[in-house]
Amino acid sequence: MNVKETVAKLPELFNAKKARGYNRVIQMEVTGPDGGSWYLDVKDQVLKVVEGKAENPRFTLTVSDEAFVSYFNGSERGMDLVRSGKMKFTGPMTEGIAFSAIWILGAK
Amino acid sequence: MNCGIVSYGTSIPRRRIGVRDIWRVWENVTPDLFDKMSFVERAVLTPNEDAMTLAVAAGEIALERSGLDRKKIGAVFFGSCTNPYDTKASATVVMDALRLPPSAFAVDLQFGAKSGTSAIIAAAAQVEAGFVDYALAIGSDTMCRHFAPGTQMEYSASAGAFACVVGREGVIARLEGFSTWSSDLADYFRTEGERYIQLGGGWLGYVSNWGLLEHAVPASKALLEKLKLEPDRDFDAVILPQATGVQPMMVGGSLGFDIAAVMSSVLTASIGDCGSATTLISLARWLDFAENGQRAFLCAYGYGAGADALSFKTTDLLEERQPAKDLVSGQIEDKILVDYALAAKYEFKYLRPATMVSNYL
Repeated sequence: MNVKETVAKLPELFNAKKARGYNRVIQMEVTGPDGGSWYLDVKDQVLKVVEGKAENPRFTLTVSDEAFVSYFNGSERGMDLVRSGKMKFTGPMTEGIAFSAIWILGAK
Repeated sequence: MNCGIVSYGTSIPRRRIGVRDIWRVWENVTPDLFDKMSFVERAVLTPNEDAMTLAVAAGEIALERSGLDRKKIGAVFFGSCTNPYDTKASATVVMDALRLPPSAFAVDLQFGAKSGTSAIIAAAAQVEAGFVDYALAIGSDTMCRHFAPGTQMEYSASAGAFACVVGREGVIARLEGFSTWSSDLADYFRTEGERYIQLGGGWLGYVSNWGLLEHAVPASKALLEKLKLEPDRDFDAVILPQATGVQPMMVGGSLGFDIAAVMSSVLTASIGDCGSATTLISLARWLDFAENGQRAFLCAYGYGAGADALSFKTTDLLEERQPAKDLVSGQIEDKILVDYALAAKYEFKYLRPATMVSNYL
């Protein structure tokens, strides 16, 4: 699966139940040859995925194309990707950690 | 225990300031810290707001949601470490404004930022003992008005209030149990006549969280042992001290809670440190969306006071009574941003008004 296919799959992976009261705009910057810019607009438990840059995101996730795919297919944990420098959050640290709670990512 | 929360309400000042606006004036920390501490915005009080007015706003919502005749409220516990008056009682003002009966047993509780949970425990004790059918417990603070300009605490010190009706009938979240851990540690304090709170343990690093770990961890462990519950298995929500974004990680990590679950309940980036209302506003946000039969662990820490740990389990009444308006997420999003000059004026940090009705107003 590549980055675009993973982005298309995000609404399926989104855990609406866990996103109650979680209204956020999150910028995703995926680096590398397969990369691009998307933002997630979470409002009233509904996820919208939009290509491009948000005006005022709550935080920004910068991640390599390979790491992006392996995070969302559940093969690598976010914490391990952050430690290895393949994933970076810019914005409040608490928000970055809570981000992992709104996805159903399967067993790792 | 047979009692619990019947209804609840919160109040967060609409005015907010971004931490980078404060930093532009003082440049007294490295701004990298804001992401690490999860500081983004905090509340700003308008001149006519204080711990009592916020408490009344939250109390009005809680009483309205309860549907109770206000004459049935037999006790009021007003928890705050930023009372507008040094000598005069605040609970009486709150009682009168909420049209509660003068026969209600009313007390101000000042116990650092755990004054709110202490109010809930005191209210529960009155109800459990059968002295009253219902009691109103409040945690309300205005930390932002009580830290000096140019101190690092200005970045996070905020304001807010939580109120709940505690009773045996019509409970939406039963209080399963509580434990507490108190000892003297002068990490924050203010001596008689001082305008601003002082930091005894510094603002940054391990020493600034010394009292937190010494109290929150044993209080929480005692409750888990008492109720025979496992931190990583038995809780749907974990709400821990969050004056900074680092605190819940330190406490949660020491107790074995899942850090992602802990962080879902942290509101530091949105509203800063609301003193004794901080963890209780997070509890209210969880109750806004929780399901019947779920359990929340809550621990509040008060500087110089100690820690309370409480466990709540939602009942079959929760979902049918969940509010449609005045949700915490709505109050967080309903904001007007102000600049530092206006915030300093509003919080009486430039000069004292010509007419004072108390030490702080």
